[in-house]
Amino acid sequence: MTRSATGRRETRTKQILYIVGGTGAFLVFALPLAWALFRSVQPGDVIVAAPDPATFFDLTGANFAALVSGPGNLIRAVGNSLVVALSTAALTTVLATAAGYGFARFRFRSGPLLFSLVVASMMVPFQAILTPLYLQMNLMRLTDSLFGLVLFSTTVNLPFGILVMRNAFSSVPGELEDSAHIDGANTFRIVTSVLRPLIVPGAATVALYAFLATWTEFLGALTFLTDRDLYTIPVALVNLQQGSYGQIDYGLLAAGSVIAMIPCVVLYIALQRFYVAGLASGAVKG
Amino acid sequence: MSTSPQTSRRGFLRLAGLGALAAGLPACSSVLPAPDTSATGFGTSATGVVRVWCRAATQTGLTDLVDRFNASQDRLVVELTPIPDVQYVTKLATAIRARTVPDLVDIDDINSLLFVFRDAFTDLTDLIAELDFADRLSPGHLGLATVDGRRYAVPYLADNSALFCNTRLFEQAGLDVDAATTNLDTLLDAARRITALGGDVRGWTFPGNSQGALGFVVQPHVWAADTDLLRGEVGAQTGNVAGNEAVARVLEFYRALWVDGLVPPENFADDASRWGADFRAGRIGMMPTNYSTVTTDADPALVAATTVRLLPGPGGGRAFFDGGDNMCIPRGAENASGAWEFVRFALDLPQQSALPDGGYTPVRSDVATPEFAARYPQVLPPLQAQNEGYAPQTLSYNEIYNQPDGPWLTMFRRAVFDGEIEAAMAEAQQGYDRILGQAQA
Repeated sequence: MTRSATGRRETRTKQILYIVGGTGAFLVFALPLAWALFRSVQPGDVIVAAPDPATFFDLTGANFAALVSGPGNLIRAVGNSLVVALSTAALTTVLATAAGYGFARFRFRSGPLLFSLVVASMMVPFQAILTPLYLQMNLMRLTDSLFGLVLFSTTVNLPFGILVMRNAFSSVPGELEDSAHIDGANTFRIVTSVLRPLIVPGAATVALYAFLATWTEFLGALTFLTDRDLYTIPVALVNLQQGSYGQIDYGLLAAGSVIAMIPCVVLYIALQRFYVAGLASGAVKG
Repeated sequence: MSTSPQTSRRGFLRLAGLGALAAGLPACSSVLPAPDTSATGFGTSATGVVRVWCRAATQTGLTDLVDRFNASQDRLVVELTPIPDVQYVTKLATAIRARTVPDLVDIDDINSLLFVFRDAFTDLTDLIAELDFADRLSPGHLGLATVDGRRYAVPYLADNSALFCNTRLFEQAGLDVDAATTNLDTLLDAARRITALGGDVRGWTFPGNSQGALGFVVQPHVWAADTDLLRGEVGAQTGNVAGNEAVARVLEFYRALWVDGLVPPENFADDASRWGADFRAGRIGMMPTNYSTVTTDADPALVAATTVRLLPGPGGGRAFFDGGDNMCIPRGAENASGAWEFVRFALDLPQQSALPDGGYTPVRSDVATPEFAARYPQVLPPLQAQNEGYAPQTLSYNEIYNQPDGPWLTMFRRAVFDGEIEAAMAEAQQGYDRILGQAQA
């Protein structure tokens, strides 16, 4: 047996393993999504019944129709959620980038203390301070407003964002900035032109994280909004699918989840090449 | 009735809610000012916006009602906000604490007393007395918002538990509905004979892991024997579980249903998220539940073949859970006059007669005309026997009956699935006493 034949066989085995493993992983992640899609076009009573070949493939668009035409208009809720989640993602990214740069590059006496305070605030679940938060927001007339909800979500997402951005800046060699300085660039120019390509993965991570967290946030949205026209997706979905004794309309729920899934999937695919890089950046140096 | 399948998150949120309520309301020592309900023109000539909160479970009906009201006149505009049921108490308590209340709240009647006791609602006694159908309003609903003879809420819709019987299966088993449903022994016998029809047909069904739904459908058997699991006046209540013969008989009845296989085996884990699906599939002889669970998305022919009886006690008697919604005007409401105008519209005969279309029962017994009776026969029995309706007046309903770790569900499951009836009742007695003691301290 020649050497090259063994090598080919190894490559062959590797390829087969890769295909089998890849297919397995694909099924593990894709099947639940496909199942949700399939369930969303089944009537509610078929979903909860034991599978019966006679009715199992009775497909219907009624769930989606009910979501769009029902008392809590889901399309409007999708719009509200998009406004809140996109604004939160943008605001969080801008603020976290600025703060991250400051913590990574400027040395000042209270820096470490301030940074630990920011990180420590991640330990306090906002549910614990919901009532005072509501009173405060109410005083500032920020309840019943999507703008208020954006400010609230940004506050909740900032600590993690600052942590990621600080690490992103820390992993950039200082010499790069020094040479830019010598060439006459100011700090703003350095960040936007010289460092930008290096910190984009971190920024994408922060944006994606803030978007997903805001997109699925329930309790804050419920507490700070009392106008059904401003409700976001999670609140509108809970209102729609549940009866007074906990009966769940699984058809509506599946259809609503499918609609709620779309922006997340789109955004994740668009940003995924940055995402993993961003999470790992500064992991060893930070 | 606000109940739900419980997850630990929900449980946590509810605890947080009760905490907020406990912390929020007493701190609000200066209660909000009550609107002047005796002003001339009150409830007839208001203008502007009326902000109404309702619970999500009844939002379909409320949305129709609001649309009709807004179309009926041009002085007032009602804005409706549905709130998820499990968050309702928390959210209202927070709003009261922040002194920004809606003009009208459509609230689960079992929760009204919590707020009434903390002076959060406006006294409506005189306004209700002026209604020419005041004596036709559901007494159970009113009882849940009455303190020292003063009424702080007016009923809007009823959501009653009753026994729904599939007459096709009764006929196949050669049973007469009235004879079969007079007491627990006849029910058990009927369940046996229906199950004996074979296949996947069962005599009975119940959501064995849903504390709220079980509180709704099991308790009336006890009340039919003129007793309750609570005793004493609100503020000085204790449990009435250990040694309560009616409670023991009811638990024995459910134990027998389970042991003898007269219910589907999935009842063991059923958290009511699929409540009624088996009945709507025509496989169940008898099901204690409410009108909407049986009729929503159901085959009209099966609904037509369904007949309703009130829930019997161990040795006879009848009762049903008088659940549903009360309407209350929070103290501090800016447009109380407009709110009352909307309430009077909601209680008008056309609106009340249309309630069954959304799955609910009217709260006025004079709605039951012959035409109404012919159209909605399954709604009729509780409506015609309003005085048999009951709901416990207590500040601790949620903690005892609607919490997944509350003493009610623990007792029911231990007694029915483990067979330790006496021990389960003794344990529950301690749980009831502890919770009531804390709430009243």
